[in-house]
Amino acid sequence: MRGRVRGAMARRPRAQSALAGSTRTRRPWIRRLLLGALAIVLGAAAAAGLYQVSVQPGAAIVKAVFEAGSEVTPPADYESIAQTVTETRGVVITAPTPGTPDSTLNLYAPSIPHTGLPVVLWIHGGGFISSSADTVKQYVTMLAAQGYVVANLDYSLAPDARYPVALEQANAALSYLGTHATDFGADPSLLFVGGDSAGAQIASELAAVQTNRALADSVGLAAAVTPVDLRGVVLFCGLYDMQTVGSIGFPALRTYLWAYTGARDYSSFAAVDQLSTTQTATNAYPPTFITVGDADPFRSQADELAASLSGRGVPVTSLTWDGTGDRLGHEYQFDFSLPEANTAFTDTVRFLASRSENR
Amino acid sequence: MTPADSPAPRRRTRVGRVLWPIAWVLLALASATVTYLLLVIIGR
Repeated sequence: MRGRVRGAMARRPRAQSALAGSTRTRRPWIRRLLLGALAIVLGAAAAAGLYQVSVQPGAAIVKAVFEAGSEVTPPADYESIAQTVTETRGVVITAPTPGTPDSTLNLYAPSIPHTGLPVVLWIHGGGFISSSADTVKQYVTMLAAQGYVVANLDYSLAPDARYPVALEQANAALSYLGTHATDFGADPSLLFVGGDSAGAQIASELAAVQTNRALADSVGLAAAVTPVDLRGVVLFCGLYDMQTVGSIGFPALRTYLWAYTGARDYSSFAAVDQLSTTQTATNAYPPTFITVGDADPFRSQADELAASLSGRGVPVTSLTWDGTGDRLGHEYQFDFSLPEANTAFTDTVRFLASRSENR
Repeated sequence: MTPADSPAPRRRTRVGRVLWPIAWVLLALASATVTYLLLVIIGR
């Protein structure tokens, strides 16, 4: 009897919970699905809001991705080449503009005694927000081994340092090289500027500042050297026209230019035209060597600059590629496992040599 | 004791009460991360 009562009491709640369960079993899943969908929507909305408010997180992500790997794949004999070059690190360059931070130059020159060598100021890439001079150290070492003093600029990065800080620092570095060239066995009348990617944009604008007084005035800079001493410009896969660059589909471009200009929509940046070398170059612009890969989204930018310079009567040496099966991506010039990169290097040196001789 | 008498279903419910909110928060974070990365890469 006792056992039956206990059994009945035990069964009754179970029957109730089964009834209650029949209504609960569907509702929790619907509720959970709805809450899951809400979580997805809220997360996406929060991300979209953050993306519109601040460039800092995006810049930090892109910077981390950029700096994850070295940019240069040197040739097999790089170590023996590097032994012929002397490195001088950390030459501090003080910009004349108050408030502009110092930058540094790392100098690379042939180890053998030398005088009167041409000087190349190299400006590294990294979307204005990442990388350092050392990411192209192997490349500039190889250039130096060909008989050049190469000054590798470490400039201040965006978004902490916004336009035109990097340009001012590059201008100050060029001024320093023009003044002190003889101190390190170089010829101050044989100056070149060059760069890759974002560094190519800075280098191209730096050359424009030397040869376009109106641009220099609008930026607030004085030309660092006389135009005749700036013998040439070397540009690898850069961006040169701010009106058209937005349509090329380069990843994270908006983040780079937002960080660099400080304008969320860079096309609305008050000084955006200063960054377009296609517009600011004059007929006094130095002879220019331009190269870009066939799979590089910046290909059209190189073509536009080449056409713009040629239209102004500026000598342009252009190395572009067709028929490689779109193998040559952004900064192919630094991947010496590619025969095309070796060709680009040879052509770059040939350009520098021809411009150094043609006084 | 039959399987239906087992306290296991109730224990799962309690665990579920804790785990589901965590799952929603993680889902929101994953959604935010993917959305943010896509926006940065696409650049719109």
